[in-house]
Amino acid sequence: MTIRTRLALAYAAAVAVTILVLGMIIWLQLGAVLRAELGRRVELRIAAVESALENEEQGGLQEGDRDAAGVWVILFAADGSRLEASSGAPALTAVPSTSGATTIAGRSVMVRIDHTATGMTVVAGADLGPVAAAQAALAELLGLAGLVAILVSGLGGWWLAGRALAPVATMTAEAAAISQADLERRLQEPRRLDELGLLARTVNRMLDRVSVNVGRQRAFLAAASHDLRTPLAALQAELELADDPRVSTEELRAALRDARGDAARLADLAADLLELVAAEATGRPLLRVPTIVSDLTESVVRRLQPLARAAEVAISADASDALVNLDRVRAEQAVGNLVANAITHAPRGSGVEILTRVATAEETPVLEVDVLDRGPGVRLEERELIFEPFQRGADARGSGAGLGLATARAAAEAHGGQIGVEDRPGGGARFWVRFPA
Amino acid sequence: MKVLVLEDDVRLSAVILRGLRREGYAADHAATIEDGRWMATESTYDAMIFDVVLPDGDGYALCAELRAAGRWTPVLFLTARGAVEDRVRGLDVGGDDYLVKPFAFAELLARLRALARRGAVERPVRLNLGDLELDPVAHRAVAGDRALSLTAREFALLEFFMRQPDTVLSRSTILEQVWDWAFDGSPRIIDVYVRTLREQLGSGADRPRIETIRGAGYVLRPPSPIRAARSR
Repeated sequence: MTIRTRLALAYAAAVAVTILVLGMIIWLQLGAVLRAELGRRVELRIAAVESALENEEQGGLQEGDRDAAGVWVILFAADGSRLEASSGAPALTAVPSTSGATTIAGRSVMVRIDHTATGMTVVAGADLGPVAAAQAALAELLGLAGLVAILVSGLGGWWLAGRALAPVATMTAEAAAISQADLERRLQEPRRLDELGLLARTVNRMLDRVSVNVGRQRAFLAAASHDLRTPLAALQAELELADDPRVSTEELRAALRDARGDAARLADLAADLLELVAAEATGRPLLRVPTIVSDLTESVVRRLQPLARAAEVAISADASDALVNLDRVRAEQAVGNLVANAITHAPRGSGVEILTRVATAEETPVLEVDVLDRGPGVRLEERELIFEPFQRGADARGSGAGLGLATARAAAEAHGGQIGVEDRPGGGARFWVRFPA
Repeated sequence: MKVLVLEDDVRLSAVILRGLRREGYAADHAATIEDGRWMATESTYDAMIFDVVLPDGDGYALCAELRAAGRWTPVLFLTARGAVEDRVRGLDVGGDDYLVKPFAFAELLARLRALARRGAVERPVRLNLGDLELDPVAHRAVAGDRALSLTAREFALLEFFMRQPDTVLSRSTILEQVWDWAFDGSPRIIDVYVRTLREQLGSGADRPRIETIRGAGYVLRPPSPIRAARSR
């Protein structure tokens, strides 16, 4: 059932209930008032009859007493026998037991009883029929009016709800039209900042975020595909050239060696790419394990020793037996990437230092790792850029595709931490990364 | 045959150079736009192979620069950027061919040969005559500082004139080249179009004009007194 139908039905139901309740109250009230009025008239009649009896000493009803104001009177003697009655009085032979509303001979009447000083009993009453009729008339009127009111409110509610919900239908249609291909479109924001306006605005902000994300993914994909193609082209060309009868055996050997190098380069690139994609995918949860800091740094140093030796750079790390909770694999990879980067840029004969400390920020321990080198440093304007995938600084060395720092950043951010680079006093760069444990 | 290879990837350029030299080409290598620009202006090549994404700039810009400087050596873009927009851009900026990586070496060689056959003919992207400039890529014509508002056919006719300035073109030639086979009307339609073009062109000291040569046809005269010379 649509909201519109529900609203219309709710309106109609509310009106129906209101009319019902009010109607009942009015109906009851009317009955009570009319009966009270009737009772008063009956009592007045009794009073009139009694005063006439006292004054006239006639011992009976006067002519003028008979059937005045629709109230009949019956006089009973002290012994309970019926003496006289006005016209219209019912065939009552005995004094009724109680006064009030009763049924006498099939007629609904309001009866009052009074005993005179002389021992007679005056019974007066009036027909309750008219009262019932009045109530019935009211009920009929209310019923009719009520039905009309319910109908009108139902239809009116339907129409009003339609008007109010029309913008929703428009928005739904607009939103449905915004497809993947057309992510620049936005919903029209109505001028008023009511619920619908707020909804439209919120949806548009969400679309902005999605658009940014899709844009980033596309850029990433473009960069990745571009960076894969050049090594592929080199490999393909190499092999094509080798497949030539004019080629000598040594040339063939050389070509195969080069092709192997290209293939290895491609494999590394592909692996880095996959690593980065996996790191950036928010679905991959962290696997935090208790880690001794020096275990981590020693492992990194061990792994990068061959690279350092080839570059004639010395790596050193401080020793810390602090215990932290991290995703060991990713943290090691991030630090490893920073160190590899440092080794590549450090001048021959210089050293790369790894410094660690555990600080406390808002009751969480945070592992801070600094990697220092004496290389050319990173220019101020590039310090944000180099952490983007495929971005290499202007002074970048090494043959990497520019994914190491991006992967490191992804790892840091997955831990809720940060990464950055600063100038090192005395020359070089200080790359720092923080892992909240 | 002398070829310039502008490519920053060390391995790939090594392979290309080796392959070209084996085929008997004289091949030079530049790894940056700066070096490429210097070499392209210092030597004469039969063809140039340009990568697009280089560390200090973009291959398209270099090609446009060379064309603007009047260097018409055929350029083949060899790049990983293979999207349609990139290819269109490469060709519209004055490039002659476009090959996407990874590529077959045999194809690279075949395309180089085709380019060499075409030679370094002056073939500017934008046509200029006096203060009239026509840009077929953007489909814009500007006379002085006023943009002309032309229909597709009017533009095509003006382009036809501008490609053969100071040359008398007969009605039948114009009809044949600017209208297609299906056209069945009278050659008089050319007169109508020429009238419109004249109105649009207006006049000016530096403005070419369409002259009627009775019995022969029409000719687009460069602005006098610089009749034969072309500016820019």
